[in-house]
Amino acid sequence: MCLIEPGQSGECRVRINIDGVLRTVVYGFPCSLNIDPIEKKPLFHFLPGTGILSIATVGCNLHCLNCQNWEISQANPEDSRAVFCPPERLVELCRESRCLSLAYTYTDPIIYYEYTFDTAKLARQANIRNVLVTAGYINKEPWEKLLKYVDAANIDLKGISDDFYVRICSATLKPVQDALLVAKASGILVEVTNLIIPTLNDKDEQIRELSRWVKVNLGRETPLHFSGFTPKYKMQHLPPTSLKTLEMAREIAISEGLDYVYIGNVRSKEGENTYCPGCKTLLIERKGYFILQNRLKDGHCPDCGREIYGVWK
Amino acid sequence: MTPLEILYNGVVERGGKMMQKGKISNGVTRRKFIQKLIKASLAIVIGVSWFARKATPRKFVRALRVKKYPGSLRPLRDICKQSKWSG
Repeated sequence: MCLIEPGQSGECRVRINIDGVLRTVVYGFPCSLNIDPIEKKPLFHFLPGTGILSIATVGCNLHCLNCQNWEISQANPEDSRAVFCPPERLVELCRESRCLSLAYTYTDPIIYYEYTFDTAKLARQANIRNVLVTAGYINKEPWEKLLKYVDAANIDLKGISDDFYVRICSATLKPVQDALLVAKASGILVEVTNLIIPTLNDKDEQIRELSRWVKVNLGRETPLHFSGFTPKYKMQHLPPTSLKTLEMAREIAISEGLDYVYIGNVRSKEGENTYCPGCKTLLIERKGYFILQNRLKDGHCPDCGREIYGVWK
Repeated sequence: MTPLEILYNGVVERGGKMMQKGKISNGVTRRKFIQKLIKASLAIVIGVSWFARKATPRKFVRALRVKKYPGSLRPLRDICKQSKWSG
């Protein structure tokens, strides 16, 4: 929580105290509005192969030194360009483009909370699904209120130590873990992403601890994505994550008992596919953001009949 | 109050001053004094609770929107093109 002095903005740069009244300057003004493959979020267990209308405004409540979208997340609204698109127009665009879902992503929907909330409410009425891609750094009360209108979320678990969150992200671990627990308990589809940064969170033990936490607290069926880091923002001195490290992370998470573990931001032979946790048969074959084949039958394995965690239609 | 203190018509002597019975000082009756005391106490209680509520940070405040974007506005481009941003 940040204390905003009169005339000043908060940590996120987009909330301003004007004469004692809290105002958001980005409501209805996305800086990015595009249709992406849903696999790009990444969401692998939610309407695979569909396009998703994705929006973001500038600003973020975290300041990760490795931020992959720092040009918009750490930008001042005054220096940015945006389009005027109120919630009603967004829902219209979604319908016109025949997207089944709307993603609040790229920066963090938490900093454009009111815009997300109002749009999600309207989208729900129009039978459009809502997806959050977030760092989950939010208080319980507004989080629970928002989740009532959300269908799926990919939540970052950036590391498993408070020290990592404090040093790298200007945040703390506990609120993120709490947000993950609340999201899972709310019944929405939850997938978790961990960006592996060389030398910072790529040790075997760190990955094992993180995987164990996901399994114990969110369940073995929760998909976990290990994403490759690209040197950006204030971490250009570090190398990109190697395929070997990502594959090692995947093996560790699987050995810890997680059913669905994926590798992202690099090409991998098996790390992008979904396999049945029961009979190990290939269910969904992916290449990048494309689905090469989807063998699921009504959300079940066609070979052993096991139900696969996800929202498939 | 002893009978000796009552001089006539309910006038009493207190601290060398002659006062009407039931008054604790000239012009103020005991009833009025108690009423004032209750009012003052209530004001203090209301004031302290208001201040405590104000001073406690609220966890959830909905921000109001502004009409004008502080940056520049651009027209909506081709939305079918995939975004260059991660996520």
